[in-house]
Amino acid sequence: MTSTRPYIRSMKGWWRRHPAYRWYLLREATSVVIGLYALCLLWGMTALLLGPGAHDVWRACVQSLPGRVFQLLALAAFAWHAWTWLRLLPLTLAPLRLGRHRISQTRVHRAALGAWALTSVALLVAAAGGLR
Amino acid sequence: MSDTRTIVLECLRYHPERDEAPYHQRFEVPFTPEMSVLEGLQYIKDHLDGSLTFRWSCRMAVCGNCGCMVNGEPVLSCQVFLRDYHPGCVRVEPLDHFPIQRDLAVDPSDFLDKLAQVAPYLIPDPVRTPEDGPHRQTPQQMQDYLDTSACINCLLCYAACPQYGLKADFLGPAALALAHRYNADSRDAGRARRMEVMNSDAGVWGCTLVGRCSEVCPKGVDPAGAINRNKPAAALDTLRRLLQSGRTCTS
Ligand code: SF4
Ligand code: FES
Repeated sequence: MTSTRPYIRSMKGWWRRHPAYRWYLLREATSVVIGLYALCLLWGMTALLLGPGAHDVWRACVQSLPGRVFQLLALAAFAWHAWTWLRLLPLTLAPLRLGRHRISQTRVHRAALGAWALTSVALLVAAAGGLR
Repeated sequence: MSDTRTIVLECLRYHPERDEAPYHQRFEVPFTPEMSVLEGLQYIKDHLDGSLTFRWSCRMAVCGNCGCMVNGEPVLSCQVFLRDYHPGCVRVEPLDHFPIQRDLAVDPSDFLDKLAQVAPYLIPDPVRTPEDGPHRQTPQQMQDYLDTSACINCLLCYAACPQYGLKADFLGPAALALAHRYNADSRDAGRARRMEVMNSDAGVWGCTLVGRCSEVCPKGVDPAGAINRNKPAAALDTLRRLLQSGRTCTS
């Protein structure tokens, strides 16, 4: 007998059904923290434009305890977002080939991680040079 | 038999003519090490309750009929073994995100409609007839679509995709992966026709890269990859249309 009354299940609390969904939501949520950090930097740049008084207020804010905690949180969010984003990178690229062989997704991920680490170190060195 | 043990199968039941809502029913099933979850269901049907409804055909992970949720994971029930769940219990439910037709059988019509929308067949240009002989391609050209051509329409990826459950019109992993399969085939010229569907609201942009579809696929199709590789092409298509409409406006 054909069902004339199919049962439709609700999606309520769908993220509770699998840890992978919660990791996915965490990845998406890091974008909010990253967005807030971008706003904080924008505030700093505007303060620089407005003059020494405004810039001192901004510096005092980012150097306060809540300011430091926020920056640590932003660093963690950046690291997690970059790690997960680079893990997904091979999914967004056409299969890469070396001669007749396909380069595996793991290799692409590792290469991207290497490039990320190198760029980060280069930026840190440049920033340290600028501060001196 | 000395290696026969007993395991509890907790099956979701729903008979529309009788039940207001689904409920779980427990069955004690004797099993041997080589018995799959599907064989456990068949034991119930043959010996305990003949009204239990579920789909299956090949029993060898080829037909894609026996997909269901086992302890919350979308799997082919002929491909997972009762021994691996013992001594725990095995909760068997119909594939998530599809309407339940009866017990473990879901209604796949939505997927079939969406599959038809992406024209999952070769559209050669110019049209070929048998007199033209075989339509050849190199092994390398075949590699471009071989992975995606392994899809058996089992719908496990749909049960793993929360976006499909949340957004009813999303074409979903397998339909989009199959669109990619034909687009990537050197013998096909239907890309522009499929692009209309792939670049629509229901197309590739509905995917937010949760990535579970590729993890659960029993055939290594990687629908998440297939979908996301088409996003640059879809973005270029939007740009082309914008430029074209700009040109028509100014002319
Ligand atoms: S893509 Fe994989 S999981 Fe999805 S229907 Fe095809 S074979 Fe099944
Ligand atoms: S019965 Fe055919 S795939 Fe399981």
